[in-house]
Amino acid sequence: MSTTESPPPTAITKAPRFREQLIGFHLLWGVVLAALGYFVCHWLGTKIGNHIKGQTATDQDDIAVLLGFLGATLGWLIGLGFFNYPLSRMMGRPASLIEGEEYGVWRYFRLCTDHKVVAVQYFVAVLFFFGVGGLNAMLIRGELTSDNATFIQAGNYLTLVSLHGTMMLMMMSAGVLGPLGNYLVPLMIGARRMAFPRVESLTLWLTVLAGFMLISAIFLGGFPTGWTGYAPLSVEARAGMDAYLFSFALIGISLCLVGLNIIATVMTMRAPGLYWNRIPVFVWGMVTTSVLAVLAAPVLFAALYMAALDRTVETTFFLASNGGSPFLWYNLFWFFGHPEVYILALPGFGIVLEILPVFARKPLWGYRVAVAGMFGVALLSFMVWQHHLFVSGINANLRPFYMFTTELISIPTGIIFLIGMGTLWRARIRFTVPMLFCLAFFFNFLIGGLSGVYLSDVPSNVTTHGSYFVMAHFHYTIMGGLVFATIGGFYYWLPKITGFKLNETLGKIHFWMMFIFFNLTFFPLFAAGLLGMPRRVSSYNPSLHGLNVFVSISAWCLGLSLLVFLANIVWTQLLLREPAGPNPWLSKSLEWQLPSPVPSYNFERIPVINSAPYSYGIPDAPPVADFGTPARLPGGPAITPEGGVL
Amino acid sequence: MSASAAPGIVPEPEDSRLAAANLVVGARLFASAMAFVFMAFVFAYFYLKAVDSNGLWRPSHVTPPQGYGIAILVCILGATAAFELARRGLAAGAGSVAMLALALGLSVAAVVLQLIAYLGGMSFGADGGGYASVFYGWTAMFLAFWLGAVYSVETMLATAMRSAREAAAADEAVEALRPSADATMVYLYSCAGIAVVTWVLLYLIK
Repeated sequence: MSTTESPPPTAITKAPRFREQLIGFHLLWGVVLAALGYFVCHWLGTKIGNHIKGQTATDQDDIAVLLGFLGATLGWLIGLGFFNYPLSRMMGRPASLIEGEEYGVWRYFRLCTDHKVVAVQYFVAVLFFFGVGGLNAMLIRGELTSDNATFIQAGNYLTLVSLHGTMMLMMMSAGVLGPLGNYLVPLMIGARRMAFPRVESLTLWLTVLAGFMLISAIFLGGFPTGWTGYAPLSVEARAGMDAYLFSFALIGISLCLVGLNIIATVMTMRAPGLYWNRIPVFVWGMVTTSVLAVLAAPVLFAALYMAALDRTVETTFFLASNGGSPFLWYNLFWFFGHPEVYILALPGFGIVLEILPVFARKPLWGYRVAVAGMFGVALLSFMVWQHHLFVSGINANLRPFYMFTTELISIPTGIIFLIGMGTLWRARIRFTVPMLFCLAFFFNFLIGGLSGVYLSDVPSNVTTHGSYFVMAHFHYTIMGGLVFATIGGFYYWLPKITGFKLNETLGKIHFWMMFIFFNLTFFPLFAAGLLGMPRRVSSYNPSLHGLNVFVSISAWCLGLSLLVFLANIVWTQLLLREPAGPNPWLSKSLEWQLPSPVPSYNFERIPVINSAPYSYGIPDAPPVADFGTPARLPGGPAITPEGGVL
Repeated sequence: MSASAAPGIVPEPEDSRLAAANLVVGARLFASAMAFVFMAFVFAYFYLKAVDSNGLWRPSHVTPPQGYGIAILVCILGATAAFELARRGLAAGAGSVAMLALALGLSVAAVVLQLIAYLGGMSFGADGGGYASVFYGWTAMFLAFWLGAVYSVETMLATAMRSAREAAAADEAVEALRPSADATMVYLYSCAGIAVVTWVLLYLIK
């Protein structure tokens, strides 16, 4: 191979004028061409559909709708400029890495290959769609203040629940890998970029499009299947189901590509001296999540593709009446669906284990065991999926095996939990906002994990299946676990990302409101489930009315707490803008040794890593990295590897 | 967010070997993901065959077009072999345009043959039971992935032709191709492997 050196990765040029920018490829053209693509392909699909007699089991032309979505996707990507580079390569032009990094604010509205810009784009997008999903939850709890359907009809209620579930699962899958993974992984491993910068941007814009496509299900009659999309209902449902299938497929592609990009980045772009046993535990969390994403998301994609074929060209993958089987969907979906649970959990482990040593001022206890635990969870997560089918008529002889593997997974999970506790043991803890969220993570995840043991057990699973017990369990693991960890992560890393402090008092108000009302919302739902309240139904036994009103009020207060978070971001990041400094938490991790915000090239020189970044409280510990020449604040003084100013 | 570059700071250049390593690792990971897509079809094949709902796994009139199946497989394997020869030529510092053109021709032929089979060579429709569903779903999905291979080979050929025209020296032209050649080879081998499995399951086994 050649040892020649390519040009510097960042070439700063003069920003073009507004009129020049308007002509290029960006979000505006993406929207225009997506709309155009939808209508053209929808029309084409109608023509094709007319030639296929008796084409579907549904009452509308799914070929037109799905082709419309395909056209919209192509138009969206063309408008954003994603086809320019492949076309130029097809003409034999040389490969390049950089695109759209040099424009000021404009780069946030187009294809940009700066991983930090993409991460911020992800952050805004995920926050928006998270808000949409949260709003659905508020409406659901509003309806459940009455024991019979009131302002939302039963069918619409199902769509609302389905939208909430799918949106949250889709966005939470992207929620950590996208913003935090893309921003932090290159910085933590001493790289200047991700391995595939255009792919990184592609995954973001696919996620954005998928979110809007899912919302479009409302205008296509909704979908009644929940986030699991069970067949044969999914084959027979109205056109809103097409929106579910297409948007989830886009998320599957995006998730797979994000994972691929992160793994490739960590494998090939680590700074000298960053051996595998020195990689920050957050990066390990991202890598294990990425392994799951790369291997599980393709199966989801294939299953969604089969369902789309069933709805359009009359294949019968999931229709038992013509040689198919709905159990095929259950198996394929949960082969993805259960690793998906750990796609949501593992990043949370990575975040809290990264933050704990900083505020405990102690080294991470059992680093290698923690990494092994993460891989153990990832491996076992592929072997448990049939516990979702315990009551679906699977061969009873299979149940003990899947019960055993499901219970087995609590061992590596428990080990990770103990690593956290060991790190906190006899520590002088600083109870900052990020730390409070990390501690809450352990509390919530413990409840979620213990209730999961009951669900892995066949007899108790049979009793609680499809009830609010299951609902409370997975909200404790996903919201109580990942969401708390992610928000803690945002409080921790946002000053690095934007360069501005968040308000500590508002943060603590947010934390206590969220922690208290989260538990007041979801803990009573274990009781509701044990008392027989079923999921996805808007009417319930009147004896549960008082409990449900209490839960609804708590849920609204929980929603309010997230508005405090939003207010904190808007006030401190857009209005107050108080500089955070390069290393406000006195962290030893590599990203905190850089200026805030990080310059576009990340590192002036690629650093040489001396040790893992957890040597807190060790007097003679060497500096984590040797930067060659000191990193400099733009136009300011140089900073030492320890974060001090020279 | 990221700050603009500070005046006067010129970042250290990146080693060009990094991009080549990324491509190969990326291709291997993509091949793994692709394998899992087709594992879903393999699972569907055996699952539906075992369940045989209403005896409609594979009614007697459902027979795949054997001639097309073999022809498509030969084109795919031929394209892969031609590309391998082109890659070896590159490694030896030789030109590779002829072999790349052959690989492109064969890979396009596979696509054309599959489309002809869909349009006129099938004795059954997608609604012909479990096997028919798997057949159409699997082959159409493979076609989509194979189009990716066609793109990669075409890109290589275009780069080779342009480099041969514009590069000052022959070794410079070869250098421009090497990073992508190894990655494309990984992808083509993966596709060829899946094509063999496709042929065995969908065409060979009754």
